[in-house]
Amino acid sequence: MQLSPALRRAAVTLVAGVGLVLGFGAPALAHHSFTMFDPAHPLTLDGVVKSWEFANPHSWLVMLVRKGDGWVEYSIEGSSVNTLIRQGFGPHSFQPGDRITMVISPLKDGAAGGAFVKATKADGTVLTQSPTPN
Amino acid sequence: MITYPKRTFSRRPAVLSIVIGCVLLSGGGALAQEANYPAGGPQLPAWSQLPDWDGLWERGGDVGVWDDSLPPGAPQDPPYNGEYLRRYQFMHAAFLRARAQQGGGAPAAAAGGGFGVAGGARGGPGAGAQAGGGRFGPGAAPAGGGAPRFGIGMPGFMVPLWPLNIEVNPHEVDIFSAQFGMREIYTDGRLHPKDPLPSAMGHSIGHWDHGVLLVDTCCLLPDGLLPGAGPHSDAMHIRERIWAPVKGTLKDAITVEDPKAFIHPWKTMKTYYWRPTWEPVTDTAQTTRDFPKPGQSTAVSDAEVQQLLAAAAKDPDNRPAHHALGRRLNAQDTQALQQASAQGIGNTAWETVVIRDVQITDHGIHWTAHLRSADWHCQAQPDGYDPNCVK
Repeated sequence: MQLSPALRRAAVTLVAGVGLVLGFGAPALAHHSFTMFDPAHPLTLDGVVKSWEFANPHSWLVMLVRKGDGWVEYSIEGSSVNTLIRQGFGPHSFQPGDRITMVISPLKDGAAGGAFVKATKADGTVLTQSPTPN
Repeated sequence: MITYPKRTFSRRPAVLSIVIGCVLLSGGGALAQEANYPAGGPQLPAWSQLPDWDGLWERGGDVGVWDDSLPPGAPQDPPYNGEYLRRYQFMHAAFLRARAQQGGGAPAAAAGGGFGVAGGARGGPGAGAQAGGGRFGPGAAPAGGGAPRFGIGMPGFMVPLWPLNIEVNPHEVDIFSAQFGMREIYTDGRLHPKDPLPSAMGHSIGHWDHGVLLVDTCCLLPDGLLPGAGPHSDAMHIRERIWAPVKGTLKDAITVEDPKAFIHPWKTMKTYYWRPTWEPVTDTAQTTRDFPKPGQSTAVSDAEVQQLLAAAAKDPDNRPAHHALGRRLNAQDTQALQQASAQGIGNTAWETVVIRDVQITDHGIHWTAHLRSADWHCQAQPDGYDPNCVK
């Protein structure tokens, strides 16, 4: 398809905002494609909570998982505050030292991280996160 | 109608200050638009004529769907003419290239969609972020760096992920969005500006007709984007009819006209549900955390783990209280199960959930939560507490 340079420039600029519109306006900071995760092969992790950041644009749970003789730090990304607050999450949902079982959609590149799917705490509480954007 | 000699609404100075401040910060050079009143000045409705819509409203329907009346998978694209369809397709292709470069993975379509308004389970244009698994959307970072030069405006403003906060007064209806900022619908009798300053939100005027708000929006930036990221022209015009068929439910019949880009108007009917116990979530903690970079060590010493465990053991009370259990639910507790489903799924108005296949055991309650585009398998404790749902 032949398009004028002006239209090409306009289109490239418009692409910049596609995410905002498709994500229906979610904050742009640190947003990225879901294609980096592999939801078809969920990974279950048993470990200890290192930190829980209940923050925008996305929440982060960092947990430590035993691997061989040592431990590995997993970074797990979740939804935004505005979404999670309606799902029962809060700034104190996880505390350092909590023992939890996590299900994540792992990073495709094999790095120690993934997208938050489900957390089961030692007291049996289960927290699931919306798979919807943001 | 009652004619007020002058505005007395106390928020006005603050809003004007913000606008003036933004102009100054951006380098100035342009005066704010001035209200274009007809002869006789403002004509305001009486407070007694206004409905009580104040508060938070949660969007009904699927996330990211323009027209919920269409079945999942049906195309949701605007009714473009040939020229704008070509522009749309070009933008789509550019988006896929940018996304592939940005994400380092498969483009959106391969993941089941991502460009276009969510239509359900089908990929490509017309499918959307949720349906295709686009958890974080397709990526908002500009292809060439820098920020987009337009804001998110109408009509996408009325199809939000998060709740809208509505305030009604005789001068205007204000709609606040945690995502998109603020929209003002002037109801004081003013006309559209004589020399409009186009914006992403446009200029909205409305009038009340027996509890129904009739809105006309003009003056939209031609380089804004429609829901689904398609283009529109400078001729786009939006008409809305907003009303409450029953207390606690709002309807917005939206008609988008664009004679330069569409072959016929693009319509939808959105539904919102009142959430009187919710408070807005706006500016909260921010983080810049990201995944480990390639080659970055993620090994942790055993001493650090033991330190964490020891700290937790010393502070056993530093835990959220577990909710006290109430009565056990049964299969007839439809509303409780709908609300539990909405909590487990997220970004879903409970009124839109259909409950099916309820099973109760000594340990909990299991059910299927049916939404427009998907069935969710949910479970909770016997009283409905601690709900969680998976597809």
